[in-house]
Amino acid sequence: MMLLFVYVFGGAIETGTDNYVNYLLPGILLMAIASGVAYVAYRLFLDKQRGIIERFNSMPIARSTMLWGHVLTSVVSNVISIAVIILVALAMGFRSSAGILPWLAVAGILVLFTLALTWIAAIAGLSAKTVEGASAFSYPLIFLPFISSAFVPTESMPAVVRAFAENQPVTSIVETIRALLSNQPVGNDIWVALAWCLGILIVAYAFAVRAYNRHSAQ
Amino acid sequence: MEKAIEVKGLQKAFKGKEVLKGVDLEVKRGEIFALLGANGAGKTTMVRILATLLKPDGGNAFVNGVEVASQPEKVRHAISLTGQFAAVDEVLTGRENLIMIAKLRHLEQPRQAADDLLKRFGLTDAADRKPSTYSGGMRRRLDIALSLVGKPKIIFLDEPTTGLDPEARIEVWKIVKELADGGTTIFLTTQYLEEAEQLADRIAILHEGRIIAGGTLAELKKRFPPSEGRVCGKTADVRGNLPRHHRQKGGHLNGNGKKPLFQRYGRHARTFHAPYFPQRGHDLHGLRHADRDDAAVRVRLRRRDRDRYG
Ligand SMILES: Nc1ncnc2c1ncn2[C@@H]1O[C@H](COP(=O)(O)OP(=O)(O)OP(=O)(O)O)[C@@H](O)[C@H]1O
Ligand SMILES: [Mg+2]
Repeated sequence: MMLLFVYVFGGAIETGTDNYVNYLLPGILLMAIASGVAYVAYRLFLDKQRGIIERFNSMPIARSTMLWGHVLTSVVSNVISIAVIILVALAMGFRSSAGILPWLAVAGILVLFTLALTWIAAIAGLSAKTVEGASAFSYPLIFLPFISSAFVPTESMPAVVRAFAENQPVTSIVETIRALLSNQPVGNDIWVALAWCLGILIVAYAFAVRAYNRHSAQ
Repeated sequence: MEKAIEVKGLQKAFKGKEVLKGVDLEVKRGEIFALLGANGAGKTTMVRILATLLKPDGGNAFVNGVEVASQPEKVRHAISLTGQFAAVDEVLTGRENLIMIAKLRHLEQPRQAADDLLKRFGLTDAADRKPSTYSGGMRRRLDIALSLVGKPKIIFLDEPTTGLDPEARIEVWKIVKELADGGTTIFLTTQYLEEAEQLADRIAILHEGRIIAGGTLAELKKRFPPSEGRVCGKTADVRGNLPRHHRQKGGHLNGNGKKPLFQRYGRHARTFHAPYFPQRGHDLHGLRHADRDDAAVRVRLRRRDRDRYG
């Protein structure tokens, strides 16, 4: 996916950055996470359908064990795929002048973003009626980066699209990561990004737990 | 404590639809108890309530001497559930499935426990494959093995053999008997009288939300004289006595599009799986019982039935 973007669009898009891989990386990372969490929805759906959730709930263990198990698995596997993508990016010419602290900040934001999306995935998996339904939720998520500053600067977009792009979570997250990695001042974006991630995380968590309880006890 | 399970006046409705209308039953320690009922009778609902997955609307249920609704945590320490569909994780291998449950149950040697169960259930060779490569019988065995991790005192088996071929079914029966010999209390549900007969020390029949008959097999047979599970008589009689929605045109009638409800042999017909579902003198399909003398319809129970019609 990364290769495709860099070589097909790379020449065409004027970004004002000399290294387009640097420009793209944040968006690619977010897309990878968005498609990665779909797996959680799929697994949870199967667990629900096969009665594995019921088995767990009739065992003497905390009710949330099951959900957290899936969520942590998701975070770990996404961290691994992010690491792989960054390695590929390095091989393709990605360079960052950022020090340890900004990198840690980036890692933190990505993990937070993964958690937030994973809980959304959990809602989808628990309330879906079909397998397709369980994974359908991720398409808009994967699509969001396209209408953001992830791949092209928002200045080039028509007014309405631009208004949306500049105010949706992906843009602020992308801008934050981009600024952190290139050692630029991050400004307000980081707070907006954190607020989005935390907000989504809390709301999605509440709904996921509700969906879980509704499923397991009438 | 003599009783493993005690249920009194248990009620449950879903969205106004009454599924259990006051169920009473008792299961003694160490016995195999079979809850017999047709599709949709409420067997799974019953099991889910006893396994702490569902709250009853009314009545009391005690498992291992503990109230299910008020102390589910305590009940969970004593029980294990094998649901109607095999609940195995497809991503893990058979062995990993067992180890996972063993760890969740805080066993000291999860690996050892897994190996023992694999051996006992003849799954050692398949242990490192994923369940998606298993046959139906093997999946069910793994499923039951998962329920035995940690040696629970009481085991619920919801239709353990539905969907299995005859060979696999006999394997499961063997497992269940061995379990009971080891002192485990077993509560199983089934749609098949034959299964209840084979396995159970005591049987209860759940029909329209109530236990309509219960006791040992011998007691049930006394109350509802044996007919080898069949009723036969003149075609017109048998047919005329079916509930209206089963009275279709043509010779071969299908109960609900699945198994034929009765089959014709010339002027005679034979019903399948008829008795043992008495309700106001009728069995589930609305056929009158032979011991109920009805002049209009002479449905005769024949022991010779099998010799004559195969
Ligand atoms: N969660 C639910 N919401 C609404 N109705 C339900 C629910 N669970 C069960 N029912 C209804 O309750 C009735 C009894 O269902 P149950 O699953 O207990 O039957 P069963 O005896 O296990 O049948 P089967 O042999 O098909 O497994 C059915 O009519 C079913 O549609
Ligand atoms: Mg059922």
